[in-house]
Amino acid sequence: MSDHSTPTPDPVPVEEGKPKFWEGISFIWMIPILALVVALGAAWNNFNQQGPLIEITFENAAGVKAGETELRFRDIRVGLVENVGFTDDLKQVRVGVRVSKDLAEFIDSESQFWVVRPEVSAQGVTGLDTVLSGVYIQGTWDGTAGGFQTEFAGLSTAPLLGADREGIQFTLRSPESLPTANTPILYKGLQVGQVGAAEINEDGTGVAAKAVIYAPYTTLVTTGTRFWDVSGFSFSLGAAGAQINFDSFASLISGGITFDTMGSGGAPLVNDAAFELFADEETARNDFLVEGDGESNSVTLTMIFEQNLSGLSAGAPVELGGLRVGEVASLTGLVDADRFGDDNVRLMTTMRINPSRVGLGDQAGDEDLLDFLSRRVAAGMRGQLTNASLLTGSLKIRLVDVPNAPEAELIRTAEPYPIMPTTDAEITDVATSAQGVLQRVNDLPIEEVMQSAIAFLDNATALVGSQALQEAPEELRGILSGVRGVVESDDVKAIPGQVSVVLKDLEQISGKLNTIVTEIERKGVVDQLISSIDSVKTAADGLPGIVDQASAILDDAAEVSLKTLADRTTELLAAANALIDQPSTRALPQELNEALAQLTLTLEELRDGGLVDNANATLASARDAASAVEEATKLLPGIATQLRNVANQAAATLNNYGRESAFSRETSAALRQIEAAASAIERLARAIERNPNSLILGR
Amino acid sequence: MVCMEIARAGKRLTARDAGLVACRRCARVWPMGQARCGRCGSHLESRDARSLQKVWAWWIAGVIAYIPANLYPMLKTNTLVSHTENTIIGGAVELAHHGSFGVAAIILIASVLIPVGKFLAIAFLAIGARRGSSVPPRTRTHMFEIVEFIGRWSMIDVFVVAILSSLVQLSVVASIQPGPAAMTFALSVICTMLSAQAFDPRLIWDAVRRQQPRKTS
Repeated sequence: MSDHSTPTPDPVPVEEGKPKFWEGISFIWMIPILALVVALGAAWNNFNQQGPLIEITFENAAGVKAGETELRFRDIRVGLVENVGFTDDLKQVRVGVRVSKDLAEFIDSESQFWVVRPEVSAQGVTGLDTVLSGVYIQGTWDGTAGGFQTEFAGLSTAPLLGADREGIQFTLRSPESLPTANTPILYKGLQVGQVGAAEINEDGTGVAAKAVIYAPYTTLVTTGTRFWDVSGFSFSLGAAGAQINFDSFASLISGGITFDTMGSGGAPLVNDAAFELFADEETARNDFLVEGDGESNSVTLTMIFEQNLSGLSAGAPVELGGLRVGEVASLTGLVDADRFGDDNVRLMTTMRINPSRVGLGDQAGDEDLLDFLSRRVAAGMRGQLTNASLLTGSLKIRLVDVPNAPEAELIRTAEPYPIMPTTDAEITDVATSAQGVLQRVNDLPIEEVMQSAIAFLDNATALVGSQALQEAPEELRGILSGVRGVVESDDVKAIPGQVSVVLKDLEQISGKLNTIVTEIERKGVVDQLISSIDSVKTAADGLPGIVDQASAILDDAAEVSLKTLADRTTELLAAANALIDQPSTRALPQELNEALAQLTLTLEELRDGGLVDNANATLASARDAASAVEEATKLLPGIATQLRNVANQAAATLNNYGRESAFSRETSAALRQIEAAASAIERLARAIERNPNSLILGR
Repeated sequence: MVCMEIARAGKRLTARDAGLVACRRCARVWPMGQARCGRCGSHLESRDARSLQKVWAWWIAGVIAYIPANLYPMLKTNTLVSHTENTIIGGAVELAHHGSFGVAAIILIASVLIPVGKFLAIAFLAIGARRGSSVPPRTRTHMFEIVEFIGRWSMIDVFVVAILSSLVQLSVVASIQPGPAAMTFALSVICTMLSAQAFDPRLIWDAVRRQQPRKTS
């Protein structure tokens, strides 16, 4: 009921309002918009981050792969190879590398790229990490942005100064050869640099190689530095014995270069400076002596020598007061009839002289040196050729002051170089001098002397061996028999009376003798004898000095006829022996004894005749005289000692001279004779000492 | 059933025509104007006015995500001596080079064919819902069901990457890591699934109704 009565409201006409624009749009649209924004953002970011593409051309890009090979800077990845292709002419490989954006501005024309591969050399193994990871491209550039560039030529080998090594690069030149690439530059045994691959000069006159000195050591090198090669080892044989020198084991195998800064104050090393590589230290130092540290330029002079002598060469030293101040640059012959008035070939020498070596200071220039030389030339300084070495015969030029030199001047206006006056060469020709000495020895009349000596000895032998001399003992015995007869005769027996008178005379004579002996003592004759022996000794001391010359002479002499001389002497002695061994000679003492016995008898008679007192007085005087003689003879042992000393001295000298030579043997024999003579004198002296009276009394 | 018969009879009566609205979740029919399903509580709407907007929005997001998914590497493989990055197609091509045609085909179908097919199918359905289509509505409804069913299988590639990168982690010797494409591919698949879900299949039939009067009149 109520249901039916319940009025149903009329449906309210609902007019749908026009929906607003944003109401009709689902918020879901935010999703694709967000996705789009993210995608665009990512794409923009990606594009923004993406660096530029550079193209590097390599001759050999073995192992480089697109999308894999990295570009590294200081061993950190800064890029990736995007494509690998060829240049238009197909001669090189072109590698496109996408580099990091923030580094792009630094990749300028100075940048260098090379492919790092494993490498085994004498210095060690490098790039070992690339064995597993594959090769990578190493790039190096400095920290200053300088215009981005997209085309690069890659290096075939790693540059000397990589990104991780600071240093200064310079050029090493040599007219001959340079060590192989990567040879270390050593300083006191430590590697401070490296040499790159050598290349031949454009004109073919030498080779040059880039080299570097690493950063903290660059101050070691100045313009006063000289480099030299220490590759391998050097062998020298000299006064100090044999020596093998090598710098280090690495340099023995792969070579090495070292250097020394020889003067202070040179300009520091700059990039692309050029140095010469010398073969050894001596050449390097010589060069420094002439060239110095490069600040004072050497002055070129010309000298014209009258003599055209061999032995002078380019590079020969020019010395002033023994100090090397320059070197000879070149030599030419010069014929100039107009200037010299003849057609003789003269030696024209150009030389370089370093003013600072002369002592004019580091700042001295050409003019200073020429002023100095002009003054000195006016005072007599001249150029002179002289020996550099006695053995090799090489020559050098000396600047010497010639006293009373004819006037000359330094011709400063001469072309091409100023001309310095010269003087005659002072050349000691050792060979010529030695030849002269030998010639004089040769000219000595040794042959004649020897012949004369031989002839004399022949005569002596003949004399000793002559019948007359052989018969002399017989004659003597006859004489003694005669004497005995005389003594036994009555006439003689009557003599004592006369003898008394004679003895008185004898006393007077004895007194005189005494006076004479005293006189001898006073005048120091013995001392003179000793001093003369001393001088002989001095002469003997000087003997070694003349031995050199005597050697040659005596060698000649030994050859000539000394043997003959000795033979003759032996013969003479044999003959003398024979004479002494004769029975008649032996009988002589007996005869003499008998004669003396007779004389004793006679004297006894004389004593009986009252002569004895007189005789005693006489004898007393004679004893005085004998004492004086004894005094004198005491000095005899001294003489003998001196003589022996002389002999010993000579013996020692001759021993030094040569024990084995014939001369030595002969001389030794002579010395033994001298020694024997000395011994005899000694014995005589001792005998006289023991019994001085025997000298007077004959007993 | 009523509808079907009506349709067969040639005169089509829809729920909308009958002043009713069906719950899309539990299929209970409510009178028009009811805001929420009295049974399951889901939002009731006779036609989702913004359905096509949502479809297109998700579709565009899916397509945007699908581009980097193919450009960037899906898989990063590091071994001791090599480092390789493979995109989806690149990986499939490499597998084919090594002779694994089967695996290559699976990857290609799951990662290329299905997603691209889905994009095309959804776009076709959405355009057809607005403009009408020569393809019968029944076929299109069937197509929509297939798209919705098959969508989840597109994730197979993402699963493979996830499993591989969690299994193969042998430090330096070998390791596999997902690339940026794995993430965008997953996003793309999610977007297309949402796009398919946002599509209101009733629109297919609405278009048919609009066309028929024009044809008949």
